Amino acid sequence: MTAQLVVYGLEDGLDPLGLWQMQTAPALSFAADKGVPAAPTWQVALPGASVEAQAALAEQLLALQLALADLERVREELLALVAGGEVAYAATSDALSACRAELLSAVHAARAYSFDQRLSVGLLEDRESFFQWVALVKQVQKLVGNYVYVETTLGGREIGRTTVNWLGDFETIWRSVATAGEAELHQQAVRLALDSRTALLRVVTVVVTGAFEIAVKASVPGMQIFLLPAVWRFVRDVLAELRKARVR
Amino acid sequence: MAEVTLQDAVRNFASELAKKVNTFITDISELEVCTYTAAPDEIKASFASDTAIEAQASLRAYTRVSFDGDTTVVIPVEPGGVVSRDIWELHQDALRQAISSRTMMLQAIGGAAASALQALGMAGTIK
Repeated sequence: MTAQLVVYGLEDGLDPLGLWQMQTAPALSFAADKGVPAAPTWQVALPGASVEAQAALAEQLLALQLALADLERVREELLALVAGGEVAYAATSDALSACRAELLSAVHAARAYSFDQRLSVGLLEDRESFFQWVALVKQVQKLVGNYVYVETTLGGREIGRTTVNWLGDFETIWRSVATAGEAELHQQAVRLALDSRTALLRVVTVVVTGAFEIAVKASVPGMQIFLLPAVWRFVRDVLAELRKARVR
Repeated sequence: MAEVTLQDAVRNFASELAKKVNTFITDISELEVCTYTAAPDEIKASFASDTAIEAQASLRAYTRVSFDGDTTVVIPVEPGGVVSRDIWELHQDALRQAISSRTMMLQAIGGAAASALQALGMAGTIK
């Protein structure tokens, strides 16, 4: 069995790292009649058997490390795209070439039009990426802006719930009869949730920095703002490709 | 307009993060960690709710670290007066995790705010 990772309490949530399901309402039936808490909740539902639960959580912690390594690879791809003062990339036939071609096409479009034209052309080309990018920024603001809950269940039993405010203060409520092994699982779940939150912030940083680097190399004023949706699409798609490549 | 929306999204993001960094520097002087326990029925009620934690659980251990050197610690004891080592260890682990999490968060927020402000600054969109 695997772990079920859900973040609820977000509108139009996205997880470009591919670990968490983003939902508006809680996933677990015990919570269904209580409504949605004011703060986002990271919910980690593990199998009931201790050995399976440890394995499932270890698998997700590893998946996060791999996703972070992928994100660094994406950042390098973006830097390579603008290497040597020119916005160009050698033609390749690997799985990422289509993503590079799409981004280069957006860069060339940005160079060809005026600022106003660039905005309208870019948005007409890919409104979905534009709205996703704005939604991601709002989501990350909400996740780091106030406080979050992290809840762990084992086979449907509630083990621990930690409230973390944005300054890092912790309040944890433990099931009084939780074993040391169960407690450790909740601590790891908290780590997974908080590291995932930091990773999402890192995704935003990589997109903004990537757009900035390309704009500097291409010497087009204001271009980085226009390029944000295109760079976001590149980051999202390359992360998905790298995940797929691991599964193959 | 779309231009305003896109720029505003980044500007708001940068502005919020910059405020957070400022508040962080002001409020970072203290770190609080609270450890509660609750009977199975009570913890069930706390999940997926905004009810105050104190209403459902007993405070067992508490630490407030002030970075001017003051530290307040409430140690968990059993009815016989013996320190509850299990709860204390859980609490110590949470304290370590809280310190580590705060450090990581400050670095991440600082990096994100700097990149967003840099991008906006170059675009000449900061008003």
